[in-house]
Amino acid sequence: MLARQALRRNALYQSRVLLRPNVSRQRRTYLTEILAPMANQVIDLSLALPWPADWPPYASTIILLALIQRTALLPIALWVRRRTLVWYWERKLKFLLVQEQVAHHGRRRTARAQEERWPNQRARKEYCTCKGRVERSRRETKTGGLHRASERVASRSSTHALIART
Amino acid sequence: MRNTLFIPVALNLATFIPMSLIMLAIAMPPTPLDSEAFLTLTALTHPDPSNILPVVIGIMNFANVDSHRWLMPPVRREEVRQREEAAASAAAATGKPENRLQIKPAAMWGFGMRFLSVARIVFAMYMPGVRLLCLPGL
Repeated sequence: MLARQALRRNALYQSRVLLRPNVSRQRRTYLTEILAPMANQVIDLSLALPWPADWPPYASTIILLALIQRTALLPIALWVRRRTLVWYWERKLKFLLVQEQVAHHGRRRTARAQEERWPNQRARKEYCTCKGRVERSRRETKTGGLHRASERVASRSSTHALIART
Repeated sequence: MRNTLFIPVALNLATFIPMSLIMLAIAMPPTPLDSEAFLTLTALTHPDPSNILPVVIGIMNFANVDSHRWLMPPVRREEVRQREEAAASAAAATGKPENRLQIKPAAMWGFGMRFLSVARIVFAMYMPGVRLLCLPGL
């Protein structure tokens, strides 16, 4: 009976293949079963979007999706870049401080000593640059670039509104 | 802090892999993408017959790798230049080329990424057009 069932299933399968000659040759797996509805949704989306008549709808939709994906990840990439910069400048600052401490070990921290801390003007300049960058990067990371940008835009629009009112 | 560096890579992969799989699923026959041509692609389900798009993608990847150096902050660039000069002067002071193996991670990374961007052209030549449209800018 089992053998007959197997034969019957095979015959049914063959008849379905014969009925649908364009059927995909890809093996049905768990992954393809998940992906097939998503692929159909992308195709439906490309037909639903109001593209101009002379634009290829599928290619345009795929490019749009790729652009959305990249744009969505851009703020995170910028945030990471800023954090990395803070890390980099902090490390450099620490290195310079250690160098300075080694060079002037045991000196009193008076005003005069503070003045003489950096006999090498180039190193002093580098230290100041580093410190400024660390502080600025920290500030920017805390507030967040996007917030700052939105604030800037908001302030600009409020200024424009003020000018228009006056 | 070092772990933060992997966040963009992980996020990119987490979105890129599903998107690539969906694009491959779209390209499986029967599909309406067979009937659509775009730029040099005769159909979105077939590889580019003229190989122009794969080469363009390779160039964009190459530029992406090298733009890291172009977009470097001036202070950092100056630092790299000073380090390279110091290494060159140290080599010149000894008067003979060093025999010991020098491991330079930055140079190795750069070479690897450039090699991959060239190798990618070969892969892109055999990819369906749908996948090519998602690749630029990665």
